[in-house]
Amino acid sequence: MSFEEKYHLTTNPFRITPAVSSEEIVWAGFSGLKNKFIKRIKRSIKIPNSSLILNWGEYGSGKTHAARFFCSKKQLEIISKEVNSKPPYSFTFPLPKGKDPVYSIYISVIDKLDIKQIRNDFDNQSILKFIDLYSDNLQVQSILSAIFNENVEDVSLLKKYLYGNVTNTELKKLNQYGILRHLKSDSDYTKVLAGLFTCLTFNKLVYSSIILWIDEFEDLAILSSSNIDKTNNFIREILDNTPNNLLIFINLTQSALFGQEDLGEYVSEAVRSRIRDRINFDLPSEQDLKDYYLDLVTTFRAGKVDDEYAPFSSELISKIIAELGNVSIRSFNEALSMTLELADLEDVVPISIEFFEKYKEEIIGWKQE
Amino acid sequence: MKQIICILDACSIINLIHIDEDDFLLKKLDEYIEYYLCETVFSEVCANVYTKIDKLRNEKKIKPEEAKERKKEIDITLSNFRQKQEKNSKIKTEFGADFFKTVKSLTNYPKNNGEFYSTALALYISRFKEINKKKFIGTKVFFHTDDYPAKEFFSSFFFEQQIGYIEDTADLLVLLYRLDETFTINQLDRYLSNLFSEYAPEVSGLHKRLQKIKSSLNLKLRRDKAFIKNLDKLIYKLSEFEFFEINEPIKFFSRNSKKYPNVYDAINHYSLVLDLQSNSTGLLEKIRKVRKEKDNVFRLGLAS
Repeated sequence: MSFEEKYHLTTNPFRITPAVSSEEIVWAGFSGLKNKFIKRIKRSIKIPNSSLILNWGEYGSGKTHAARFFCSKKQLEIISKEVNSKPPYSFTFPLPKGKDPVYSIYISVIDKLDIKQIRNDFDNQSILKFIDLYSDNLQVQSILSAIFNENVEDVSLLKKYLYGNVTNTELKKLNQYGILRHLKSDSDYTKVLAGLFTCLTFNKLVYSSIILWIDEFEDLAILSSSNIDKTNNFIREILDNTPNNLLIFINLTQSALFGQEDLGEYVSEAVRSRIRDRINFDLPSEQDLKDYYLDLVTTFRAGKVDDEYAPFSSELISKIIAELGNVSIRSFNEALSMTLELADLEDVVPISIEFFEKYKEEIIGWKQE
Repeated sequence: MKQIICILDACSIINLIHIDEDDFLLKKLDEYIEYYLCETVFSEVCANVYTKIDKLRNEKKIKPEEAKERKKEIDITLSNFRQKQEKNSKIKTEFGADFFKTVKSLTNYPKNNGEFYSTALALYISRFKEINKKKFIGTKVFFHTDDYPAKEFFSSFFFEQQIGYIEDTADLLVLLYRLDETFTINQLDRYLSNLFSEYAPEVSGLHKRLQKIKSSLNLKLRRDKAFIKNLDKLIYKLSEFEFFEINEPIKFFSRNSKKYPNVYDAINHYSLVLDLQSNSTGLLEKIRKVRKEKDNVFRLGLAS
């Protein structure tokens, strides 16, 4: 019998590394948390003001999952349709830990930038007129014009320039478009990004807002002072230079180095004062976990079953939750995933409390050490 | 005349090179400290000082021309340290061909690495009264190393032989700060923070890599009790920045490198973590403590 025939599930839904692509990633349970994000994203779609949101929780509480889920094109299209608007343009990346954090963030955005697609999406004339009035920084203005202007035919040269890889001879070819020098400083990168974000959300015609989702922000604590300053300055400056249509989420995991009380030590006052909301990923209650379980198995259900909890039972799920104690959603998934895989190996259907007891030490043995 | 004699280990020198800004620390070191290094340490520095840049380059975090430029700057800095080498052959000439064998039997240290030869050099300097025509009588010697397992191994030898003390690079930074009134407290904090971030990203990087490995384990490995126990132990210690006996799970994966190549490769990639094992306050905790208490360092002219 196949896995699907045995358990009436299309796949093991509890696997930590999902087999599905980020576009097919699912959200189960935790409806309150989900609604908070939807509300925030809808607000950024409808209201112009830029904002910074802090997502706080323990390791394994689902912050990275939330970033992947809400940055998927599919979800953003669903959310934007509900408010009859264009979808946001999203970027998600971990906090850069290298020598040049601002350059790394800039590169993450440029990597995703499809210049040909953008030119197709935008009305050439009106965006170029807008760019002419956008800034008094002629260099930034020229770069933005080149990105959106169809007359700049050599797109690969332009991309090479944006990456900072053009030679002086190649730069000369771009002089005719007003691009006269290389991009060098953090301030250059931030201004280009701010300009790009502003253009992409021009009148909310093509994209209603930009979502920047910075994961693993707790790693700020391991950076050198100067890189901590650079990262803080970047967030402050990008928000100041993009006053409209920018929504930044920062995922912060409580760690040995970064507790709640350390926020002030690493995140500058200028950034903290710009945090508009804080979304907590609290440890789930028994009911949260049961709702999550039911929602997840229903999503991956194949065929009809008598017990909605199949292939587990309500009693077994309660038992596993009780045995685990207060744990993250990741640990809950790990326990269920392993139980299901062991049952599959031994062709055990349905999965009983006795079966779980037999392998309890293996499944949650680490809890007892 | 400089009154303080220091011996520098390879990790301390490499850290100083990487955290320095405009050769500030190097200049202060030259100005206030009579420092030496053994030739083994110099070879270790030459072999490892570019690793960080190569890693950054491989991860495409810096451009090739920048990597080249930074290597060039390091080459210039290295020439300073080259002059401070004490050759093993010279020590043998002075103290006899068996000197290193004697130190080996006195310390029972199993390896012939930079830490061993630095300890021997420290003993030599503490017993010898004249180096490079400079006279030192009964001066205690400081050996600066960030290799905590070695620090803990040799500490009792330094004490029993009345050689002096073993300290780390954080102590050296505080020493330079208190010796030089132009060295500001903000600079001290920045250098300590830079030193912290020489190690902390390695810890965090290994932690994340191991978590990723754990997330995608097959059932066979998840049922391997010894593997899971050691992996969980290592992940837990890294997450807590706790380095007491951290080398135990690391040794397990080294012994079983063929059986568990993913974990072994991850540890090798972040090998600086190996230097952090400590039975007392570890280097990273120490740096955080020194940063918090830096205002308490008494310095003439700054007393409140």
